[in-house]
Amino acid sequence: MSARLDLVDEAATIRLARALAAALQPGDLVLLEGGLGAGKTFFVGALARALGVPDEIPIQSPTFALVHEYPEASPPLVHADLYRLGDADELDYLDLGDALRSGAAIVCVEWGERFVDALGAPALTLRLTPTGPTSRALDLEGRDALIAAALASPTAL
Amino acid sequence: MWVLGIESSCDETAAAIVDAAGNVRADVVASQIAEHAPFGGVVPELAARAHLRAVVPVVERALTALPGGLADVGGIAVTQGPGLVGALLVGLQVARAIAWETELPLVGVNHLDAHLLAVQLRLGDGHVPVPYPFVSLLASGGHTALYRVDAPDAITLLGQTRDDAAGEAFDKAAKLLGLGYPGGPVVDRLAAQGDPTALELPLPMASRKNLDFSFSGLKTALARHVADHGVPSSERELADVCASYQRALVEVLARKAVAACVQEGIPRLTLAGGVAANRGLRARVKELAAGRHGKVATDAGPTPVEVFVPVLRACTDNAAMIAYAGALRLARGERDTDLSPFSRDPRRERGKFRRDGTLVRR
Repeated sequence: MSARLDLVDEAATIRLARALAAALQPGDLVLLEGGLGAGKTFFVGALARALGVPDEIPIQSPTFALVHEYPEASPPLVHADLYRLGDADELDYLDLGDALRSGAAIVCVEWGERFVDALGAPALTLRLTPTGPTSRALDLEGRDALIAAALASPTAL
Repeated sequence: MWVLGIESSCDETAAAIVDAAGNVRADVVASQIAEHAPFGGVVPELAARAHLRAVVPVVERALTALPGGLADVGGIAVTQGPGLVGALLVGLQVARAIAWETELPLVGVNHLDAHLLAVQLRLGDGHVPVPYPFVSLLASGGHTALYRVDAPDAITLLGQTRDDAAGEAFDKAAKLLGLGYPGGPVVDRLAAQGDPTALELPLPMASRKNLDFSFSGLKTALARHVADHGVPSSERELADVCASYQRALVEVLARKAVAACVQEGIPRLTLAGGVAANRGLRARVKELAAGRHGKVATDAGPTPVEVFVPVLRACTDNAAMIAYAGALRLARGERDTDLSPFSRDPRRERGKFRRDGTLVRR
């Protein structure tokens, strides 16, 4: 299933993240697409808060470290950024596959388009396109229950 | 006593020989070695396998600085985190193996602690040790934070980035503007020729009261400018955009760094991390430190903030700082038997960490 939503401001993005947090399952892969500054890390930050990561733990960009893990989230959250990754072999060192196969965590991946063969099928793909300073167009594609949850969120109504 | 330090937390594989006084006998970084032959060609940017190829030649190279080689080493220090677990494990395994074989004492080092202490390494002409306590701005590709350093084993987090690191903000700006990687040096060079008031950009979280940083919005503002106006076509326009962007970034870093000194009542500021190489940052920090916002209330009355900047090779990732931080731990009689890597800085909460690792909350 797929859908398109207008996220009019940051609050709308936060409401959507809350709706999706309630519907995502451990072991789900979420791919985030969109250029620099599109709001990929902002969305993961909102999702992390919705999953219970306390405010004093900042959700920093994982571009440099490649992977940030949040065991404080329920279920645990893994946030990866594959922008700097050379080839799919290097994925083995990041243990993303383990988190996905064992169903231990929700795994959010930025710049993962090049590695879909190695990562496996995403439960959800989010494509963010800026339409203004804090507004975004969001294209969603994925499992029916997730799209339904997004469409039922206050952001979509 | 010479300590062998090994660093493999991120992109650089490095080894060094340093003592607890900060004397540096060897300081080897794999990507800086001219002959790449021992590593099978060009050293890739990241990945544990690059560290695997580089770590033994780098350690061997460092040990050649001692007449007796490993026999002259009195202890081993290795980066335990934060960093990529797969990459950290390479350094940890080598350090464990050497310690096991030689029965030398072994300690793990927090990479960020090591960055903060690197200013004490005796590198460069006229090096002066920085008296404790001092405030430190650590800004690199992966980290941006302010710390209070009362002693090598008493370090408090005062504030940190809520999203992007400062070095990352430079890299991503360079990417948006079609410049090379890493972005810091090229933006800094172009900024020197541009007009910093040409482009109006937000000063993100510029308040001196809050010592946290946020650079994501600045990056987004630049992305929007490029989407609306295109990538600057003339050298002049490009220089103006770089100057405006750098001014916004540097202004926030410099203001908060000096404000942290005032807040803590400590008239000493050190710069650490790769972004400390930025000329705009160095100049602005020194300017603010000498100005009216740089007066620290001390027993001796209002005191201007003194700024200490380590030489560049001590700012960027290196093993000398790991060896030094480890040498200090070894000199305190500390040893580690169980060394597991950690991906995230355990000192995420604010407050003061005692030697035993317990946190005194602020």
